[in-house]
Amino acid sequence: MILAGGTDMMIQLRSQAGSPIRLVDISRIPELSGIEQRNGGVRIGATTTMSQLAASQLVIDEIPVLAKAAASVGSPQIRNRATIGGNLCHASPCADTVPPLVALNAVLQLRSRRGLRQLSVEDFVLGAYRVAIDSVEILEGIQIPIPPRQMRMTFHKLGRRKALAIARINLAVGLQIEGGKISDAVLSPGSIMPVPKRLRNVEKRLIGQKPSSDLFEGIGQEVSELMVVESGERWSTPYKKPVVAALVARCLEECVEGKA
Amino acid sequence: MRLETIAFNLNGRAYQLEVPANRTLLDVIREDLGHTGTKRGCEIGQCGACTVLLDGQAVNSCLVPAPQIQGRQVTTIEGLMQDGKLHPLQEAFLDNDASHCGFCSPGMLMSALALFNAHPNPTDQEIKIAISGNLCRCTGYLPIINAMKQYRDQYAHQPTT
Repeated sequence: MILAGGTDMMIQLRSQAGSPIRLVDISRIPELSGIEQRNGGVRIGATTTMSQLAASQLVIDEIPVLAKAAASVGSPQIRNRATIGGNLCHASPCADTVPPLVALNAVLQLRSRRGLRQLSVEDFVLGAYRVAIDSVEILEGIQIPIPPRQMRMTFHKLGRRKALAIARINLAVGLQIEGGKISDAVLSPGSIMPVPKRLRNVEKRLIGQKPSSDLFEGIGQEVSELMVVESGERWSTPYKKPVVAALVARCLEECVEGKA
Repeated sequence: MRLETIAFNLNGRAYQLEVPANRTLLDVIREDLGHTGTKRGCEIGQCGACTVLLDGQAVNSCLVPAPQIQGRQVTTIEGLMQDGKLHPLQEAFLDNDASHCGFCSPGMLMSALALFNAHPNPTDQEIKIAISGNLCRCTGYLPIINAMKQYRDQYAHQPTT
């Protein structure tokens, strides 16, 4: 098993005390950490911490939605240790950096002796706590194309309290508006779907439309109905349905108002 | 369990120990070295009672594998006193009755210290965020926040240690 920040791994290890496990610590390999401009995008090393992401001027300027998501993870103590690679590879359904990485079309770089393999986040995360990584591979870094200037993205998260909350709902949303009409849209929910993915069929319904509260409320309804179809009726559904609808609408409004 | 030799600095003193590879920094501090100021709370990174500084950054010592402190600097609550005197941040906590049962205090103080080391003049909001990973169940957060504000207002323009 690969160890980096340890914030998930140490809890896991303690709960399965006794079972032998071989850990490989990659936390202090300098080449695996850091944020830089590369190939017209932002390249983030796998062991870059949430604190580093949230404070990076490059991330704040070019892909602020990721800075916002990273700043919402755990607590300062957790963010100082938790890495973006760990967030991806642990693949908790509520991982906060996953919805923005999906929304940003991030490409994951997996390294092994065979060479480099590149995968989208949607192809990488197979389900809760399951990822498409080979036993001989490590996640080396993440390449993120810089979205067009007109694309505005935002991220919101709802938990039981502000700090340290495990997201019950998290969501990255983006809108590109040209000439008063929506020319591109991204809807990328976390936590509420079995696997992270863009809701491309719902996104399509936004394209070519004029932004309006009615439109956004309708889209919110659609997303919450899709959640019930894909994740099933749960004890929490009566709470989550209206909340998801409202959150989607609010995120879309924010993208228009430019608060994002 | 395989033993690892780790050399590190705790509160300004160099140590070398042999520890099982799966030992936590919290266990090294409390059990191996007997510094019991750092508290053991939830052990899942939720309560912040075990907060220490690792190379100046606040971390949950219950989640740090001991081998990862090799060559690094650890500061615990015991490292705050200087020349037998309390740190001015500790004095500010006393002035504001910011410690009731005291269990959260060492972790709170380490989180507060990490903040002031990075930002000598934080906003009220930054103060709240800095201690958002530390639970307090009896003092209440207001006296703690007031203590931090008082310290900020007294020392904003002086470098802290």
